[in-house]
Amino acid sequence: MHHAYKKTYYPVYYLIPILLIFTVFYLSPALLGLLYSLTDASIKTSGIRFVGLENYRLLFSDGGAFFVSIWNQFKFAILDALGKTAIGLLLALLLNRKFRGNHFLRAMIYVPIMFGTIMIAIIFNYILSYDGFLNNLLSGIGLSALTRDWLGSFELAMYSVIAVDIWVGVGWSMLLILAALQSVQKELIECAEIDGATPLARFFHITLPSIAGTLNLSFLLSIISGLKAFDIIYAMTRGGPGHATEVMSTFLVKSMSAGSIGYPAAISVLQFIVITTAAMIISYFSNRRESAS
Amino acid sequence: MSAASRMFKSLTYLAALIVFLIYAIPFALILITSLKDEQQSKIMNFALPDQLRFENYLTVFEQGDIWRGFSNGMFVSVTVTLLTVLLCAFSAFIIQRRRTAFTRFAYQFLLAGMVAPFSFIPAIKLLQTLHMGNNFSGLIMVDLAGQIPFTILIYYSFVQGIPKEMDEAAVVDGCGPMRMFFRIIFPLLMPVVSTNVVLTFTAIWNDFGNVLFLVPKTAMWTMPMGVFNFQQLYTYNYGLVCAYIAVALLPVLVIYLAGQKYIISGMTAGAVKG
Repeated sequence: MHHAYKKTYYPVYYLIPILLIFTVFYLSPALLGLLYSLTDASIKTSGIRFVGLENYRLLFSDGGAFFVSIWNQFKFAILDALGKTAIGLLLALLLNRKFRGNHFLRAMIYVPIMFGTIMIAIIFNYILSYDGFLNNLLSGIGLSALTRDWLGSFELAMYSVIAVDIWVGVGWSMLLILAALQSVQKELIECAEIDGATPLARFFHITLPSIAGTLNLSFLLSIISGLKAFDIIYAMTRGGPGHATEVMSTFLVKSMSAGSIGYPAAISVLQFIVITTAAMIISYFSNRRESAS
Repeated sequence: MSAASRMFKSLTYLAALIVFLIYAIPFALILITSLKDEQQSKIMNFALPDQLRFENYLTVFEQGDIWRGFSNGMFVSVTVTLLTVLLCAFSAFIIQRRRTAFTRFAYQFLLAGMVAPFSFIPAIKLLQTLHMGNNFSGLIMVDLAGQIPFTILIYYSFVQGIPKEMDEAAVVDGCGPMRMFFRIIFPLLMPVVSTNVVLTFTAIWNDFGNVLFLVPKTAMWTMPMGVFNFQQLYTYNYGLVCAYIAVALLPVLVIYLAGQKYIISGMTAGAVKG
């Protein structure tokens, strides 16, 4: 009786549309990519020829630019995640205090996330270009020695892009950590205060251990999104100068210029494998931590 | 108040002021520059314009493709948002209420999209083959599919909190499954629907990757692509580009101010499960 009721009122076949849409328009391109990567498919022609592993051979013999892009992607992801979590913690500690304008500031830090990366990238291109606002400001206050070509230099470009991405996305980590701070038991802190613990000791012995799980979560989730990062880098530097900020997707875009599908497909297959493997390892660790705490 | 705590309070305000400036200055620069003419805007500095010039804004509306980007963006964002709400709310409800091996599999399968990246390149060819590459249908379906994983997650956890007795009462009153859902359950989902609407709308409005890869025709570009293109067209007229950016940011700002509390609750929901 109960079973029949469930069958009538929660019909499983209503799930067909969502499964179909998700399979066809999200997952199937990854599988199709695997097939296309073995062919010479192109945007311009409809004929397809099987070429075996030729595209992969070409990719591996391409002077290692693809490996540089993988290395850069991980570098970006890790530094970005470290920065977002550390600065997110500092901002959360600040916003956890009572002061006028607290809510306004919180909302303001979250704004860039809503504005989307392209607008932000263009704004920061103006700020960081060689004759941009930052350098003009530095020379204006007599610090010309500090002016740099923030986005044009091989050494600095990557760090400049990471800094901008932290500026954009730190609001997310901040809100997450702030929520954790607000759930730290007040009694514990008050007890420690009565026992004469200094503010620093209270922070390191009570607050920090209580929010460690959240800091870990913020760090790991930021790494996953950093591994997928593309638009901010593309819009700011296109992967340049040289390959200084080349990540997997900027490399992919460049490989498409000839209209070929097969070769870019090989790149996206490897990209899929790298990101999925890394993300699965990361989720494994974050789940284990969560169940341990 | 002791001297030490008073100093601590001033330090708090000082830190807050610094953070405020770090976030306010970039936007202030855009506003200031948007009011300068080409000559003045070339020297990028904090100097105020000698007089307020609104010509840049007029030019943006006259010759930029801003209206087209705006209407394309509105059309795609509204359509994807509506479809996401209907499809995901109903499906998450079925998945949560009917616990079988299949629905459990379906749930995990859909959530896989939060880890697996989307493969743009083969998608171009796929949409070509399906004849969906030259109109909005392809972009809309890909956008929709990309919204599914996170949205299913937030509806699923919300539906868990709605007692099954609500369903049973509806059944006793003679409702079928569709009516039960849309008359009884859906209204209860409103808080999470609001979160869904705000997050999906802004995500699609801001989307760059899908439009860049999947929309070959400039006539179909949405706002961010329009700005990106405009900036390349008028590389040296900073004032003009800044006016374009200021106009393009306005719709999102309005939505953010209106839906701020839903954004924060949605963000927390996502973070809990990741």
